[in-house]
Amino acid sequence: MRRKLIRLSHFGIKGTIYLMWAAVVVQTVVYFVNPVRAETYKLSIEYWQGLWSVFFGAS
Amino acid sequence: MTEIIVAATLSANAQIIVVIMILGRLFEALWVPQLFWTNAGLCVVFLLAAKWRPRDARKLFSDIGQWMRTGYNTVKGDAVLTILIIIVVMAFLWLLFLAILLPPYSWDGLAYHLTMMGLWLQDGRIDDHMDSKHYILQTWPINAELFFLWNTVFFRNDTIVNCTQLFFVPLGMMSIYLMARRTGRRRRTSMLAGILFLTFPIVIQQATCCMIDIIFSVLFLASLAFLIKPRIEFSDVVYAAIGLGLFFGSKGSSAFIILAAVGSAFIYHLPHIFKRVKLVRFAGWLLAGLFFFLLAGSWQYAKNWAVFGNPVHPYNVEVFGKTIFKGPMDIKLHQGADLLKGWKEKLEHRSTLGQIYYSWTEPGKMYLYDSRVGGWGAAFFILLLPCLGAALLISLVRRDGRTFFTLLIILLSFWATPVGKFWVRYSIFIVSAFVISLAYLLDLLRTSSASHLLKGSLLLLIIPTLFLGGIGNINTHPPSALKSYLSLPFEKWHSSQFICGGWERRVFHKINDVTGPGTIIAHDRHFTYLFKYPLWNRDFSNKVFYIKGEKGEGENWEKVLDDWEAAVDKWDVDFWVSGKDSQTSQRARMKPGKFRLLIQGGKLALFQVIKEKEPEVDDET
Repeated sequence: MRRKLIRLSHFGIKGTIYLMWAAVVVQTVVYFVNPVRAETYKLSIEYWQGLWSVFFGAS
Repeated sequence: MTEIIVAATLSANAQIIVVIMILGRLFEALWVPQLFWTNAGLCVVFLLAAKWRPRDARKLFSDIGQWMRTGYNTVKGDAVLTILIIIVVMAFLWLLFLAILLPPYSWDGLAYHLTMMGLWLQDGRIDDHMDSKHYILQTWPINAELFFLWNTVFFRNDTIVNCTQLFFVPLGMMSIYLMARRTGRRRRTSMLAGILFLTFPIVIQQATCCMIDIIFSVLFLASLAFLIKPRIEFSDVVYAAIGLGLFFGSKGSSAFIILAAVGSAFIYHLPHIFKRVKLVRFAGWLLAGLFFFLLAGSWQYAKNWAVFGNPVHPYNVEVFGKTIFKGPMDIKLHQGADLLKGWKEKLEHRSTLGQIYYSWTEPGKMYLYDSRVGGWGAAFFILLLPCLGAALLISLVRRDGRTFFTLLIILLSFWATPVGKFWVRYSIFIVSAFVISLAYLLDLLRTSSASHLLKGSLLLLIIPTLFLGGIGNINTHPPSALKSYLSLPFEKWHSSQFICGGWERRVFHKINDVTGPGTIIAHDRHFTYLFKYPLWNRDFSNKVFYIKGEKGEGENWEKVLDDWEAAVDKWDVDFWVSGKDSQTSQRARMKPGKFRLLIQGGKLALFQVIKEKEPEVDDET
């Protein structure tokens, strides 16, 4: 009985880990499918370019 | 050693609060010599009481050295941890640079956190802006603001005040490390959990500004680190009480979180209390804890009770329909959606859980220090959220009580947060549950390929998180604003450069131009502009006074204005600022021989008070 429980627990843990990775995939899709993401990346690139010119660009 | 550092930091913070409140509130002697010598004297007393000897100092340095060597050996050989530490250290240094370069710029800071500080510095006492109609300046808890004061008073300059929250970040990291170790995590994964604290955009955005949300959450995390310790001892109760007291004294909403955390922690420790500690002894511990809790955090509540008859003035508190504390304002303030311009329609139709999930999908374009929705970053939503679910389930199945109950206590504390739970800055402490979950899974998976995959995914997600908005999108001072700011002469590096509103900014620039050491600028309640702090110079060499220019019930305008003019003369005011169309401004315009209009626009008008020249004494007569 104890061995059965341990095996069940082991598969339960494995199953949970697989479920977790499935959730990661879903979350990734939800995160990147958001149309605001492209805008955020664009603004970030502009920010870093602007910052570079402030400290290292020609005066 | 980490435990000692966290405990010592909590104790030092409590000493700062207590000394400032005693000197500032009771003795009205909040000046540098008194502050310095009182604290130095207390340190000497504590060292003597602990029978400190030179060999103890040698042992301490040796222990610190051993602690650092242990840390180095822990990191060595773990590529992901090493890379993360390098990234976080670089981020910290960049934030330190920004915090020192920029003057205070956050809205809440300029409106009230630093405004309180300005008055305390000027008057040498802890006063409550009773002239202000803004209840925040009069009644809200002030522990966090006292830390801003601590970083300003010795320099008599606000150069490092922006660093206050940044200085709390290492304490947050160490607290999370300690919490992870308490749940049985290995050093390496605990370190990973702690380091991740500075990779969340909301933490990075807040770290360089004078908001108080990092201070708030870190004090709670430090308390939790002692609260969840297995086989809790008396010293743990004391340090948890100190931390919770500091936490309670920084924001009133902490009361609900404290009840949830202490209540659930008490249930968690019940077996230990009954079997080993015994209830009577534990009751003694709790009494001692209550003393330290009140010492660290009850000052402003006690003042409110004495002055207003209500410790949580202005809030009206009712329990089951019975009024416990009477006040003019409903306690259901900050119901979240009501205050969120642009997000109300996205949130109001969702359930609480729906609002939280929507916020955690990061729907905003960029991150702010007050990211109303979003603020955790890609790694949190994509990876850490599933990790939490998995960790809860697995720890339950494996009967890992330490991990399961620790996560539960944090989640219950989050759920007890009274302000909109989707509003991330109010519950930064919840990240501890997520990073500890990650550490739990990494320990479970050990050196398997799944563990490497998890760490690799984390690294892959942290980098765009930091790029996207952790470091990148600091909206308040985009590169163009930084460039124009850096091109100004040093004397013009002032908070007014970041004020919104064209005319208001010009008025403040003029104020900064004309006020200098010793000048007095006064205002009335018609100075309704949100930010009062920029009225002070950065070295607080000028003085800012309130003079009554409003008509009370039954009063006559002529008398009010005559009294106002007499007060302007009596206090030798140099400049007057008020609402552009206020009665005092209109009176000032009627007397151009006495009040010279310097600038007006938007909602404000600034006048110079022309002083009568004293007749020259003729030595010949």
